[in-house]
Amino acid sequence: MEERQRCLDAGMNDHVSKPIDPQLLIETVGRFYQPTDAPDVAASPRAEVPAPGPEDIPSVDGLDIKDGLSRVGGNRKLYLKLLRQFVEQQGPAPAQITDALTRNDVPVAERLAHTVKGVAGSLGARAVQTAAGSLETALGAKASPAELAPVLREFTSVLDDFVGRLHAALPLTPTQSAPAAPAVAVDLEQAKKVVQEMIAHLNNFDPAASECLEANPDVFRTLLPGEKFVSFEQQIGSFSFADALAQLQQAAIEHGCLPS
Amino acid sequence: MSTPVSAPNSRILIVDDTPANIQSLAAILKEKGYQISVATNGKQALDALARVQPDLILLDVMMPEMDGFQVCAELRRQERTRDIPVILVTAKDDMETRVIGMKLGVSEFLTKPINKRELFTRVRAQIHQRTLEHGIDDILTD
Repeated sequence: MEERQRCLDAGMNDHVSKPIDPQLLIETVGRFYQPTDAPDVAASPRAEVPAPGPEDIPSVDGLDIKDGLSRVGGNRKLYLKLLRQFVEQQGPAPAQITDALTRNDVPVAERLAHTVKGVAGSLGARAVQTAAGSLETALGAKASPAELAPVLREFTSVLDDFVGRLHAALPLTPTQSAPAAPAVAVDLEQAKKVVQEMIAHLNNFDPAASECLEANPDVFRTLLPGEKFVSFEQQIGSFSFADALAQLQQAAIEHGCLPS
Repeated sequence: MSTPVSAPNSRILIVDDTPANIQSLAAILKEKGYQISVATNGKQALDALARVQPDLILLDVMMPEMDGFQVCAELRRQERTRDIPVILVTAKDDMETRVIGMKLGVSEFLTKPINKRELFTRVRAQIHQRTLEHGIDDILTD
């Protein structure tokens, strides 16, 4: 009740306590806003997620596939991509955190643990989420090295085991980015259309740029040969759209896809 | 009167330093017809805002260099971005985070990992509110 009063005193219109009761939330929001004619929210969001098929999402101990899929709208392709990214990007976290602590950089260690917790939670990796959360809390509470050591050990063990299982279970990565892919003749008019579409996405900072790249690899390989393509792919993957745009515009002008 | 600001015409800017979080949020909001812009840090968010005018910003709190609070303060300083509603996305559901956010004019809060239904409800409510405000502005300036 105290929190509710503090929220109201701070100028909030109403308050819903956690854990959220969806019905109560809808009723509370409904007191202030009438629904628009935007697409309706499904009464049971999890019901729209198809049952996981063993053919594409592997069963991994410690991974709640149903929960993870529901958080990406049932998009299996994206879910697999995020699982692969988890192995690559969060796998090194224990070493990075240890390194940060060696440098006495607790805020960086805390942020790294925080990121693992958030990403693991989004994917349905509950045990990792919990272990990372405990570590984040201990770091935030300025725990002594003696108090921190077992928490860090537990986190490292849980994450390493999970990443190992996940890595072994995941299907091979797509070979789309293989640098040895043969060059394919690309139609100039088609290339111009694709370039315009990509520039619109990049100007809008729209992640649809990633889909545009996946759908038209040959166009971008032709415009950006060798290392340039690898760098462009990385820029799109990390959402560095301003850099990607600069690189693409220059290449497109050189290839006659854009007026100079 | 201007066209009502609601999905699928509405654009949402997602600011988060973790690409996996961006991709999850973008996928489920796109599914509902929203247009999406993304940024992975505060500076990138301000660069994006120089080019696009979103109807709502989903802003992560804990980011390196320029955290969500600093981004929010900068948004409120600039006339072009002052009135864009902000939902602060945070794994830290402590009161202090919320109070600082409220003082910076944050409209709503979401706690990670995000519940899809709660996300839609809050996003829709904020965009609906903006539609009403645009409508009132149009009436006053007619």
